[in-house]
Amino acid sequence: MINFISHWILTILIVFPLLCAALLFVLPKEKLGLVKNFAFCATLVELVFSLHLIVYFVPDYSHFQFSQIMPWMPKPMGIDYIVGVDGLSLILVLLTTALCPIVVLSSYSSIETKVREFLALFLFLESAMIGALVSVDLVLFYFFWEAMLIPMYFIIGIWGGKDRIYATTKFVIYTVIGSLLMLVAFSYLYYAHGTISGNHFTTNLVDLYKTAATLPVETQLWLFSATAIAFAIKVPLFPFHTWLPDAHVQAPTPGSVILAGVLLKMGTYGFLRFSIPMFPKAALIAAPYMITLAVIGIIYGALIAWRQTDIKKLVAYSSVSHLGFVVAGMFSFTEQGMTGALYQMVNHGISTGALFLLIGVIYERRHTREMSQFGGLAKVMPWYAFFFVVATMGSVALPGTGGFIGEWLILLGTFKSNPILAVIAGTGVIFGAVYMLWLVLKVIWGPITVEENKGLTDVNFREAVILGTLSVLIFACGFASAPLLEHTQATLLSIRKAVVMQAPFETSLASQSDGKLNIAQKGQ
Amino acid sequence: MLAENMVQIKMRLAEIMPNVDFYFYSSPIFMLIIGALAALLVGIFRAHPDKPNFTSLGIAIVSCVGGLIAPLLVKFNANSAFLGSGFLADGLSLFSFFIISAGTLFTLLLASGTNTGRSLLRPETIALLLFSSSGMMIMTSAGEFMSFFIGLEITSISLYVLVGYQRSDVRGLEAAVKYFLLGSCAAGMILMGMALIYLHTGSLRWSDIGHLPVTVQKPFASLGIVLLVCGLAFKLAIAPFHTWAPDVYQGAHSTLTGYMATLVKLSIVVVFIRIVGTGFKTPAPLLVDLFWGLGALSIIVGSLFGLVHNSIKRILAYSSVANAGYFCLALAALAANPTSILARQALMAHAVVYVILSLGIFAVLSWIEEGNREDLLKEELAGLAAKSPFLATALSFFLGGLAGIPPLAGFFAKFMIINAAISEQLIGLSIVLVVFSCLSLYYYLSIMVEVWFKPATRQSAVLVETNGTTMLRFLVATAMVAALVFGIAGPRWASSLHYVTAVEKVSQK
Repeated sequence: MINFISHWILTILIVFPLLCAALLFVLPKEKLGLVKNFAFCATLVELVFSLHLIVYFVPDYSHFQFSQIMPWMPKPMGIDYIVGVDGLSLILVLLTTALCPIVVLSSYSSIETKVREFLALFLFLESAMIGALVSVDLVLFYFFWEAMLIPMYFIIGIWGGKDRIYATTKFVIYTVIGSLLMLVAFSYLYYAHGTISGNHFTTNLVDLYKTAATLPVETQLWLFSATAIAFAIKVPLFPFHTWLPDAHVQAPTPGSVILAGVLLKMGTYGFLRFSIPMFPKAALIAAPYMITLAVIGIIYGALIAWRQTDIKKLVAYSSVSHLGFVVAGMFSFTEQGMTGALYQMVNHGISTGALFLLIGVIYERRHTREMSQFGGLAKVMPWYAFFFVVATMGSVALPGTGGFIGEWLILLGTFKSNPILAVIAGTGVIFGAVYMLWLVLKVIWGPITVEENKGLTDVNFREAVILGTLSVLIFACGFASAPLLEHTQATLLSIRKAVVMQAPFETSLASQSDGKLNIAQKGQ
Repeated sequence: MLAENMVQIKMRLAEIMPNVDFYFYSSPIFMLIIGALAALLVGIFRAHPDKPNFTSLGIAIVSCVGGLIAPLLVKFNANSAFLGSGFLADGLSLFSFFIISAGTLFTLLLASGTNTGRSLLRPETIALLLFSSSGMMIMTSAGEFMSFFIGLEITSISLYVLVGYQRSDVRGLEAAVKYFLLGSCAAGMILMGMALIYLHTGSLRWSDIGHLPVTVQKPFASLGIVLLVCGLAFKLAIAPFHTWAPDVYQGAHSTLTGYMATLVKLSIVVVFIRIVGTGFKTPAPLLVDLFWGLGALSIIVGSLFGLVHNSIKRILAYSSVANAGYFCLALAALAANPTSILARQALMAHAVVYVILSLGIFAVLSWIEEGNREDLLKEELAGLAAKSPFLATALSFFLGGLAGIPPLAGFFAKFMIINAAISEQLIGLSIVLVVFSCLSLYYYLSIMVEVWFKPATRQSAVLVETNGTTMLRFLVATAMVAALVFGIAGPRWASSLHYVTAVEKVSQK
């Protein structure tokens, strides 16, 4: 039975939200409470399903576990449905399934119109995100990668703020330009593999890792650039970041949370899954440039964030800064840097998600996000102030929170490979503390400056549950990092080995049976 | 001596003369022609010449359903040539028969579903529609120039009349005249090209085009090929021969626009597959360059010019120009490697998905145009999602498909085209496609923005319930299902067609 579940679990994770999205339309339209609770339960059940992964995942292996292959397109094209998780995708799948119930819960009050449609789109989005994370086939990955765009386009466009149309159009066009370049690179790789292996065409990632790494350096550089642009837009890395503040500010609260929490991680995930292990020679050459861009992003994002008066824009620019750390860490190609980068992806998802939720709470009460409209909230909303301070601590990476471990490991790793840039990036940590504490000072402490704020009510039970869960997670990541990190170690080490040794990234498909791992000899 | 001659003549006759199989395979063509004649005949007895004639419509529907079923009975795997190579019964032609019959049926039902469309349901227009479809079938099953040209002219002349028929406004008449003049010009170019090719090869068969001496010493041989391709490019609305498209799209009846914008293109694509794929045995650099230039120009023109327009039909016209450019990309790949199965699959996949998506879009437009003026502007669709979520979803589904966003239909077709092009090292043109399809995404999105995100205004289109609404709903839903099936099942069906066509088999003997 367990073997059977292990075999199908990833497909279940992809299909289940989609099925629930369809079921939402069967429910009676007027019973909004039922619709909302159904969607919430669906995401909770999905979370429970995903726990199967962490229970039965075998650490110490870099293989794609729980793998499943089903034929999709005609045989000679070699495009199949292949899914699997390794340490890298495991932790992000868990982040996704953990954030989704929280986001659905937060939408109870922030989404007032077309609730059913919103929840259906959201479940569709969850399905696409998990699909993109577990794909071990280039075409399947691309399929889910683009499918993520559609719900996000509508979520920003229908439920967004005043300039939502501009923001959502910009978001889609930026992302599509990148992903089509990636598609060209993938096609080239597909034919390169076909030519090298004597007309054995495949888009199986396991096989393509081996072919791609043997390509000449110039070709690798081209392909690396094409994929890196796609992922850099998604991250977003300076100078491709300009869509992000617009999208964040205009998106409704649940949209912002999932954008910051998971969708941005798709970019950094793409680097670690595709650009770096596929093209190790090019990655090593490009590393100094990527770290430079990342460090520019850290400083630039922090400085711009400092000057914002709109709280949401401030947090959006802080994301540019924080993800700069992630990119810098992964391109340091040190064990510490890469581990820190992956860990920071999770931390950023939790703490920035919490900040966007907190902004949503006061926006629903005051319908403004101007910093000057607030001040002294601690007096009227003590619990709100508590959660706000906790989320800020997570964001500025105070020791005891997960962010501290992540940023510290990243700086350590970057210092090993590039001391000067690491020092500059280190100042980014200080800037980060400056603008976040500035925000707390303006919004939470001090006297109440605006009359309307005197009547604000504190967080209600539902909001307290959401924010409390995230606060616990922020500290849990800080104190109990070992269990999470040991699951990812094997994968990160073999990616690093591929780059340092300039050798193909060795991995293969594996399946669980009776608690042991059956490793396939070949990719197919 | 005489007896020997007689035996030879008998043998030649046996080769050429049709047998039972011929009538079996070509039955869709005959069904449509007989249907057209019967529909006309019924019209003699009509009492009110201005009213739609449902007897004729019934006959037409029956003949289309017949045309739909007949190819299914042979399961697209026939592979033989008749009338010399004048009629090829192979997967390509039988599959085209199927699509053309289905498209014609769709158009007829669509016309019967709208008030404005019913003005088209006179016996003479129904007959013209069927004749035009039978012409397309003749074109798609031709293996040489003569039967191809007959098919082309049957189609074109019927369409010239249809575009201008019963149109009182200036736009409609302008469209008809423009379509007629430019179309005739194109026919002239095709004829001249045919003549020049015949001059050098002494054969009208497409399998002999490969013998054409494309050298500097014989400029007229190259000119023949260029004229032929340019003439066909007119019909496919490839830039710079696209100028008729926006005006004709805008001026013609939406029901008809859908018909001629899709099925004609499918037929021309099949003709291109046959000419390039069977004519040449070795790479044809001249054709590669020609398609490269035409394709790049089409993609650029179609993607850029669509951005500035407000009329949805004009936007769709430019979208069709861009799509014609995508066809050119795959055709360039085919010319670079005439045996490429991948390029053929890509062309057919893209053609069929394009037919389904465009028919769907024009069905939605005809529906919205009920109770509103024709030639809708983008702004007039504001607030559509609130009024009819079904129509809004359908329209976005089709537009998103044309834009090629997975998991919607259209993605795999585009993907196959890029794949085919890259496998023939046409990387530059692939990048042109990629970059400009992002630009064209903007105008698809701008329509969706109006539909979904803008509130209704005073200008917004009003949706009226008529007695044809059920039919329209059924048609739009059918198109969506078809698009999903062809889009997601992707190239599976495209690769099941037999691409080694009948004429190649004949020439191999």
